[in-house]
Amino acid sequence: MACNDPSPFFFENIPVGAQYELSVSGSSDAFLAEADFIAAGGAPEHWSFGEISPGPKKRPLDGQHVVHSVSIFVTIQSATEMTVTVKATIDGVGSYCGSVTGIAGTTERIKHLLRMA
Amino acid sequence: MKRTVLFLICSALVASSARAQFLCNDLDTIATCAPRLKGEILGETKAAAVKAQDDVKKKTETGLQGLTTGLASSVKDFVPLLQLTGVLGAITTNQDTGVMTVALNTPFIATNGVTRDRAFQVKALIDTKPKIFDPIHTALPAAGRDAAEKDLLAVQNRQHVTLQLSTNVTTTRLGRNFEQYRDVADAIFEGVVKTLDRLVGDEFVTDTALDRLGRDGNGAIDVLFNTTRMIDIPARADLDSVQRRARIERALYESVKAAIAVETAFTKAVKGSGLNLFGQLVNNQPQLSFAVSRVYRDPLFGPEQLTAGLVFEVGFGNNINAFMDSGGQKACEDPSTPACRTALQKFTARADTKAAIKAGSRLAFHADVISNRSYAYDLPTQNIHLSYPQSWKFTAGATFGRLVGVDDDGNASARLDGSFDGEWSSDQRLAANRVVAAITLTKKFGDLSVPLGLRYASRSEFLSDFDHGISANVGLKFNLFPGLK
Repeated sequence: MACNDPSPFFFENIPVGAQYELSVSGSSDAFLAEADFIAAGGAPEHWSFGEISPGPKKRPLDGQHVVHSVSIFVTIQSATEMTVTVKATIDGVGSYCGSVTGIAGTTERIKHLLRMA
Repeated sequence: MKRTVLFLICSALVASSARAQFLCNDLDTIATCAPRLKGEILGETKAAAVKAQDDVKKKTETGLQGLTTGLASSVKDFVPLLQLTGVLGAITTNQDTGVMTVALNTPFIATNGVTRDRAFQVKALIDTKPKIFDPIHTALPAAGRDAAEKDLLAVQNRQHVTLQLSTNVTTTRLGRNFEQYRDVADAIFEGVVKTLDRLVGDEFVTDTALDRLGRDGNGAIDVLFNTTRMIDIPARADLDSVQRRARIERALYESVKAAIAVETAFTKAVKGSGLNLFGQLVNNQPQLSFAVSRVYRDPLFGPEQLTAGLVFEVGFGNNINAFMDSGGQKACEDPSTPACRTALQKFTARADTKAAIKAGSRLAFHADVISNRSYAYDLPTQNIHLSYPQSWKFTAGATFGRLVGVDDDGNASARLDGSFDGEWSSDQRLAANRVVAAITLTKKFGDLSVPLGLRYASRSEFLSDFDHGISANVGLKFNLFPGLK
């Protein structure tokens, strides 16, 4: 199955109480990943590698008529080409699958905007 | 009448002018317009950056800006000696040699418990196209040898199986698995990502503004970023549809600009911290590997064997140990501190570190022992009666390799390899004691590699009139698939 959804990626009309789930995995272990979750009106949350890989990191979503944001930062460390796969789902709303392919030094930030109904 | 015509013309011009201000196409959604805007903005930025880089090059005529991309080529052939991937590797068959392989990979014992990687491997190799033992081949009469060999090989169920156990030794200073060093790398990376907090916050402000423009007066979403086309954006109490579209596109532009700022800063922060080189440092760590194997085979293919070997390989000044020894050990006692990040930054910025990474020097020592079990083979029809007592062969040596003429993009123009081996055998009928030395310079011409080699051997491996000899060889290697380097 293709795993090339674009960034930014929009989850829309999310009902209050829905849950966002994030998982990051690699074709080898040599990569780094962290995520920042910013809730409307809330303090930013750092999600460590251990939380999101293999994951899933689960985050209930609240707030009506607001938007939340997730930034997933990936850096590849492998001397040979590898692929890091980022997957996110919100039950009943949608799912995301994106990938980062490269060798040591490749960096990419993936952004998800979560638009609450 | 004239007034009406004039009004219509003016209205058309105004509408056309407003339309000309749009950043997205009528059929775009926010989701499809965003990447195009990003491409356009980056295109402008890239053109400016290229000009700036050209200016810098003209001034300095040096720099290692391209080092990162080139590192892969310096270490591409610095492959770990044991390829440990997957818990149970797929069954593979080499079509040329006919060797079928299946491997089981598991974690193994380390100094602090169990390795995080699958450092222990059990592998079975089944030779489906085994060759007849050379002394039998030689003993067969030359006339009709091929037919006789064909008859001998036609007998079914002659086994030739090798069972191999191998492992990498994992300690704080040995081993190349990234997981061993993840704690330090993760902590530094977290620090790097935290430096982006302000920019990510600024970006969120623009995203919030964009989101609000896509909601009606009651806060409900009436512009879906994934599906609503620009031309279909509805009016809102405070804005007509054209005005609202223009505002949304402007907000999208600001959001994309803010995203680019975050992403550019992220890449810069990773490079600035030295984290882009961390994986290379891991890949150059010293590695000690052991392998033991047992060969079970029909006497037609030779004596059964037990072999054991070890390999120690190390890079110079371009690995995690060098970083730890240069102050990293102390600074990274708590890897989450800025001191650890600073130490890595300083180490990777040093000229000697950059030079060491570019050279990709490696030194490897190996020692192998092969024990042949006592052997007997009788083929009365051909009057062949072979018998050998138990014997052994010991080999030890060293190899050194490095890249030569690495440019600023990390591409090497040549590679130099040297090796020195000693071979000792308990049965001189099977193999002679000797010393072998070789040096090879592999020069690259685009996708063409030309190896130039010199080889010295004190004796031929098998008995002959040969005493000492030097041979030279020149070869050609051509990469038929340039994309697969």
